[in-house]
Amino acid sequence: MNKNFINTLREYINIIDIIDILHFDQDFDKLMDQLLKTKKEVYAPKDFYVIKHYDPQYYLPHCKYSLTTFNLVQTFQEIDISLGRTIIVTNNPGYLDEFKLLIPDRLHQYDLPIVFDNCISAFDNNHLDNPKWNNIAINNDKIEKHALTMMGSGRVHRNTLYNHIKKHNYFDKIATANRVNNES
Amino acid sequence: MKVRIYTNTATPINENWNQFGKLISNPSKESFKDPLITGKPNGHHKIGAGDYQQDFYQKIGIDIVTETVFSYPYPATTEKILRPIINKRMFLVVGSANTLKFLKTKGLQTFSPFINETYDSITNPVNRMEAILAEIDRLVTLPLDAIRNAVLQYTNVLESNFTTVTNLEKIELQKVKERLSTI
Repeated sequence: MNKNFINTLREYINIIDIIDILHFDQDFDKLMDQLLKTKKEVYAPKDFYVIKHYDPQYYLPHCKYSLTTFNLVQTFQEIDISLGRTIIVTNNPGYLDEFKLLIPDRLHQYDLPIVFDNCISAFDNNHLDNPKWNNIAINNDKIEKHALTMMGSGRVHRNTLYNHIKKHNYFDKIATANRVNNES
Repeated sequence: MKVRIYTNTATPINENWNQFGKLISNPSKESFKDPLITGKPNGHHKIGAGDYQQDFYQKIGIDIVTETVFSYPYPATTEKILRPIINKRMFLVVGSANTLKFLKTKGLQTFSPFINETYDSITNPVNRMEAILAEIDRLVTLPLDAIRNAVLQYTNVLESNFTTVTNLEKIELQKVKERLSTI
């Protein structure tokens, strides 16, 4: 997360630890170990864990919460730390609803996390805190192609688009970068 | 001991809608990198998150943004959607349903009617992809001058979006402060 966002949080809360879910989504025992190092007998009202949640999650068919969310709740319950002591920063608008499904209604007042789910600028790879780009003047003189598409890690939707471009030979109309890596 | 559930690390993200059949023939051994983007055919220039290359953006009219996820319950946005905004170009999003709707909540504007954006509200991923591909088919058959003219036609939108994005951090941090002040 970008430093301005973290500094803003520090003005209002005491950050016990910053947790990046990406580091634990395949092994929540590691998260449990990390939490044990900082667990307190009693938390002050302004003590919070900050959780960065940016990368895609896996959902079982017809399930309204992700495996990551499920595992996160299980881990915090196992170690007996309330999720009410967490602030989750995510790019999934509406993410709090998943916790409402997994935490009993009677506990919502105290055990739901605070979720910031629409802060595009909070994530440092968006570079909104330290832009490298210039305010360019709009012109259309240099336009050579209709469109551009840049495809990074292979995924089904990118493969589908790429195959469509290839099938119709749109390469002269659409500048295409395809960096497929057999991920999907 | 609480139960936890994991996927295999190689499990594709939520691509349980593999209903495209022939459209998903395996392109894994193919790689096309346009010299417009890379500077040379089949080059290996990495286009990273912070690597906003404004030179080549000047040479295109529309960015077909392939977001990280497509069949996904949230309009999850990343740095990918910010690239055309920063470079003042139109965009079409190959991403989750309601991504454009979410961007509008941030004060950003989109490019209807020049781009048919009805795909954004289609929740069925197969139908949404078909709508996107149909719109791409339509756009590429337009004369290049139509694309050039549209860029000028949407100058106010492109400038407004740029301003909105550059002010976004300040606005978002203010909302964070307001929320945290209630603790």
